[in-house]
Amino acid sequence: MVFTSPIFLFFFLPLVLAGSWLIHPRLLNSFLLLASVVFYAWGGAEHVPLLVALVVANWLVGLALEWLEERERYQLKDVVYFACIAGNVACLVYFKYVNFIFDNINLLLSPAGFTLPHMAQLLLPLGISFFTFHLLSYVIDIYRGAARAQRNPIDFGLYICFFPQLIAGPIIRYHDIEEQLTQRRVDLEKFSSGAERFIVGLGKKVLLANPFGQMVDQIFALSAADLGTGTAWLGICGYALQLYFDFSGYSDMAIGLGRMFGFEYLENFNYPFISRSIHEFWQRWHISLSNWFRDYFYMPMVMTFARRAQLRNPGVRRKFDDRPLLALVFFVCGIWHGASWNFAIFGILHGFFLVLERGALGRFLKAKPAVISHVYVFFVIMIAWVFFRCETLQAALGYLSAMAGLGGANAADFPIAAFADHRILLLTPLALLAITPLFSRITRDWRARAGQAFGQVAAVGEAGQSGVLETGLIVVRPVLQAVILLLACAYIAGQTYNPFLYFRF
Amino acid sequence: MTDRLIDLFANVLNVPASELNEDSSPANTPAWDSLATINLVLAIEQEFKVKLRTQQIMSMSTIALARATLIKLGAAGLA
Repeated sequence: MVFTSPIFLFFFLPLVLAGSWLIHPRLLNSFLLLASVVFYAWGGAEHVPLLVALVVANWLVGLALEWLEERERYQLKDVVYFACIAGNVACLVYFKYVNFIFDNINLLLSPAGFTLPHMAQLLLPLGISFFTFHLLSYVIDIYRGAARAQRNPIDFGLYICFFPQLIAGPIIRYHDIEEQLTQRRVDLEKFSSGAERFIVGLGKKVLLANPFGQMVDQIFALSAADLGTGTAWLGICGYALQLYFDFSGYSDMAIGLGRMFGFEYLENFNYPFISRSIHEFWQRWHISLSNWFRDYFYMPMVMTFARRAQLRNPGVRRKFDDRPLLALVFFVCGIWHGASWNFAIFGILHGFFLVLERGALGRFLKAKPAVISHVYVFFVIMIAWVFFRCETLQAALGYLSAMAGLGGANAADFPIAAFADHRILLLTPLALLAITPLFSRITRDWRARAGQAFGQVAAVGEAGQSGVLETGLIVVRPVLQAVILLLACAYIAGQTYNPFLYFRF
Repeated sequence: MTDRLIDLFANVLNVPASELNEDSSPANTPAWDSLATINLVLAIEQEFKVKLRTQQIMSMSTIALARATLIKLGAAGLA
């Protein structure tokens, strides 16, 4: 079930909201968990047993880790911990990567006449990349002592399975939400701000991402010979907008839904297109994923290697060079998105430029005017997104050659005007406005919370806001949101094109 | 009088000690990124002869909190 489907908007959500208001508070989490399982089963009932088994197993491991810690049985605790991490990762690898790994092994071994089987029937469980990261977050937090093991299996199940974040995040670290599982409140103010946020997300997805997506699909369906340079750039810029509005719209809806049920999730996007470096881009794009990789992968790995380096040279205080590990983190981050070399290259490209930014490139960008940094970021992310969008390496290279002006033998048959119709021309200025912080004025509350939520990310766009403007927005905002809701509902009723890009991850 | 901890932070972050105070944090100190955190931990462990656990590292989000953690671990000359 997707948030923009009629069944969710007009049946599931109203029913669950009504139920949550009517039910006894002690039964609320059980009710929400049950509703979440129904939500999940709607998209793939065959994987519900797997989800339940993983939840129960990790809940038991959490209790075991705490029990062993209290009895100071540290060795056994380490064994249980690493076995649990390995089990969760193995499950993800089995469902998501086993065919990719087997196919690549076969490529290497087939000359020797040895082949591994291709598991054609293996269905990817919906949201496995997201709920596996939630499970890992819980187990690691308990192991580190960052949180207490959850005694109540219902509350733990709700952390993993709560429907706003189950299938496509945001990825919520357990220690960020531990208290809210048992102590949260919903008042009219909170509920209405959640509903407003949901409407904004719905509008981003349905009114902006979908029209751009239709154009992008048409352009990416062309062969390199049919692609003119202008059309290729139109396609990838359209894809950048589609991906941003699709996923940030989904995140807005998830955050809004969470608020409607009393949960406060951290922000997942902070205007990534205004970034002046790839480093800054990842502080603004899919923030919950970057935070997860930083806290649970980068930091422990770098800490381990840095300590080893220090042990080899005791007494010498040196700054640790993390560049190889940084590249590795972004390779894994790329492949997290999907089992293909294109996703790996997407991650490698980002890692490569991050590594360069640690040195001379970073110093160069800091010394030059902002426009140079913005142009640099634009080219890097667009080129990387070609690999993200294309399904094969060959298609990506063909597309890139068209962007570079090397394709397009038959380009005259497919002019830009054939794709950029009146709807795209009308939506483009709106979309360009919406990728800047100006858009935040419509989502009343979240800028104010941004400073606390992000920690490192400074709030932008606060200065210079006049009282008159703010008063005007108080009047205009609800009208605008009502218009967005009506248009989005009309679109949903009349259209069949409604994919969610991040569901396949 | 100079402060050992502030001096250490200034040295690792490569910023003047006068720009740092007890409330300095990654949010208000641009040089204090993830890698700087690792380098700070290495320097602190060496300077104060302590071993920090992951949870202690994660909770050191200001210089004041780092100081409190080190005092708790028995590091001398910080109070």
